[in-house]
Amino acid sequence: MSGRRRRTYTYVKSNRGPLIRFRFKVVFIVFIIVTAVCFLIYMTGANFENDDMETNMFLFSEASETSDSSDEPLDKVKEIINPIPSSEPLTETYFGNCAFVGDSITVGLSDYQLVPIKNVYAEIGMNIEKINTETIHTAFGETTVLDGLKQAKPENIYIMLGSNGIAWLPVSDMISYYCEFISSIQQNLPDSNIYILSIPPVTAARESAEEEPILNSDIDKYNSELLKMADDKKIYYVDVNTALKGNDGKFPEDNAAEDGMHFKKTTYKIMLDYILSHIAK
Amino acid sequence: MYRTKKSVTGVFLTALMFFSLTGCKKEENNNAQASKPVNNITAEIMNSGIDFPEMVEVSEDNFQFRYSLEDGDYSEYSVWWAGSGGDSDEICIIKAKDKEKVVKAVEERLDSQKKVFKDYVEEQYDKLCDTNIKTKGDYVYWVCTNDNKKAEDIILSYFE
Repeated sequence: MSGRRRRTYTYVKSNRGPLIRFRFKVVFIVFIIVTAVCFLIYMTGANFENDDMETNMFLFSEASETSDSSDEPLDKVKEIINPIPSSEPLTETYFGNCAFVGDSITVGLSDYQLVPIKNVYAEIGMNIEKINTETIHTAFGETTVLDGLKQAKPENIYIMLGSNGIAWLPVSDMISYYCEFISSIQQNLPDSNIYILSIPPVTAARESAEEEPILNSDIDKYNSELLKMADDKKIYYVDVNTALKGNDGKFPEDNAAEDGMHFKKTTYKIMLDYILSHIAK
Repeated sequence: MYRTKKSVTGVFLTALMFFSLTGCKKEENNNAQASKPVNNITAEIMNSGIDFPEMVEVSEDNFQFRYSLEDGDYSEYSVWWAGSGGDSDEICIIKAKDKEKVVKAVEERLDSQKKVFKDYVEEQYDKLCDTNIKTKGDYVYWVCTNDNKKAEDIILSYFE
């Protein structure tokens, strides 16, 4: 006798079938449903996908009053009349289609929350000499003004440059830099309307300031050169200087900040109302 | 062996107790709470008699744009700044959710202002150099005014 126990194994056959039966019909139906859902999602996304609209929605928070007219092809203006004569005033929704380029005076448009901040391409201390190279904080990060405009593709571009620089840069140099800047905008944004804003006047006190005096006669000379440049470049010129100066040809003290050059909030409203009533047709 | 184990355990427990107490202290500091919403504080500064240029109470869009912050970074904010572009006056109080990010954003804002005013208006640049970014618990604030001490004293009075 070996004493070894014999092991026995009992197999219990389960009456249940496999947990998941493979049914070809079910797999086919699931495939159809998934394909249909993916197709619907794609079509929904495709209907809302539009590069231009994505870019413009970044800037344009409200519908523009000019949107109806812009549904038609934009006619090239054959004749430009400068300074732009008065026109039927538009409402502030127009500014949703505009970019504002400039220096600290233009910064005030956003600081006073008068136009959307993302539409302002300006910085304190900006001048015409560094407009092509200096980077500023824009809706697209730290970019040059031109790079920001290229991404935004605004319908209208308003430029006010020269107040910062008039005291020390020769007018001929300023106009030369300005031409260069305008040319690059025209090359990169051929469909945008470009408006040059004449630089504003200064107060009598600023004319006779001990530090950095600015003369209204120098401002007037510069503005007349800007007008010639606008005609040569076939772009628009808006004479906000005349709208802002008093009968004595100077900036009224009541409308100016303490330095005799920057604006109070009410002054910006005067300028913006003037712009809204001087739109190129 | 048993004695070594006992010693190590003792040291470990002492260290744990020490760090727990330190943690308690930090937690107490971070719980500094202003007695009123931050916009009440800035309103008091604006009405305190400090000489300001024309100032603007900044909208949230503009605040987020200039400070490069988003909704999830803070729970409260109040900012006033000079509207004209020729003045550097600013009051800013932010109750941070992400304090590190908010402090960095405020530093960048101050540096950016100094950079633009440095070669532009010396008087305004000097005013910016006379200010510092400060924190109180989760609150981050800075003021650039004609009387920074008065403005900061007003802020701190809401934490007593």
